[in-house]
Amino acid sequence: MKDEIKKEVEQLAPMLVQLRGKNPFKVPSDYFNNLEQEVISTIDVDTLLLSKKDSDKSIPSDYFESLTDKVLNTVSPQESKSKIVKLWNIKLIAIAASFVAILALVAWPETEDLIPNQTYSQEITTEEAWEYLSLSEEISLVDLIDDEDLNQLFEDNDLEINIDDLLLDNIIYQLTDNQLQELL
Amino acid sequence: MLTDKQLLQLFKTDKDAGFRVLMNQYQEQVYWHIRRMVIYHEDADDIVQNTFIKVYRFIDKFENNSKIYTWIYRIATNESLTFLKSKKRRSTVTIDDEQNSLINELKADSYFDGDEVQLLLQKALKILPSKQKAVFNLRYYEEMSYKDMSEVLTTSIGALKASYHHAVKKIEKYIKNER
Repeated sequence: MKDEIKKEVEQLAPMLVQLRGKNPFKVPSDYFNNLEQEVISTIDVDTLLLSKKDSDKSIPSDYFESLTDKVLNTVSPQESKSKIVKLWNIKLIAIAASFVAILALVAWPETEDLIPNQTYSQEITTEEAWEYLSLSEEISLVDLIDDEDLNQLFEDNDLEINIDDLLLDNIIYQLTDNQLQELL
Repeated sequence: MLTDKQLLQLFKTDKDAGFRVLMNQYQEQVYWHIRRMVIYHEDADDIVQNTFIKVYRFIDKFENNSKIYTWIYRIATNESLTFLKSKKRRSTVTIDDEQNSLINELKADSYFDGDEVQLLLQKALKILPSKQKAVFNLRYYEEMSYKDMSEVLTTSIGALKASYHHAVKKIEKYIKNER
């Protein structure tokens, strides 16, 4: 330790002069022999990526010469020509629409007969709804998934939920001090 | 060992050759500075690589207003402080828990070979804010002058002296209480 710095520490906290001791940290063997090469390799890759990026950004040689014209053409397009609508087309559509209307009127009474003359004016009570549901065949989400898919689902580690994480990330900030105390 | 002037001249004639010389000259001391800041080898390795990549990229813009080594130390310190800041932002544990987990991790770390006293010193250093830890490390371990520290940390010499004295006192008090 340099004298000046040693004196300074001795004056402030003599205990720390002895504590400095040996360096407790170690590095993997050959670390410093390989570090230079590692850094240079990373720089080479970065340089390569940067040059690729630059080449991707390259533009056609006459791009800027033609750009002004392109922009001007877009903002002030040449006079638009008036649109000619052929009237016979409208007539044809009108005739077709009339036929459809006539057919609908003729067919209407028959279709009405097909609808059962039943009304649902009575309200269904909750109990009745539960009774109906309990009679119907029970289909859960699990039934809709193949056994194989289900096994895969439970084996997938990404789906594991850490309850502690959930508590920390979401719940703990929403509790009051009293609720936190009870929880702890 | 090349002087700054010689090194910069070499960079002008052959950038890669200049960079190899610069790395040979500074890689170990820069690594140890970063390692003392971030503790773990894997983190230090990432940061030391980022530091030298930045040195390579920006050496052309280096102005001869400061020494090359203080400039490299500035990059290394900033990289370390940024890393510690983002690590702290991600952490949700208290300082006590952080200290305890640090000790457990260091005991299990194959790249740490310190005794109980060294562990206690690391625990004490954990109570310092990151920038104050940098001040303490640069002076206590790197034996850097306040003038050079001022270039590294872009802080006035007076402020650095006060910060270092305060850090030393805090560490001494902590160790006395723990022993």
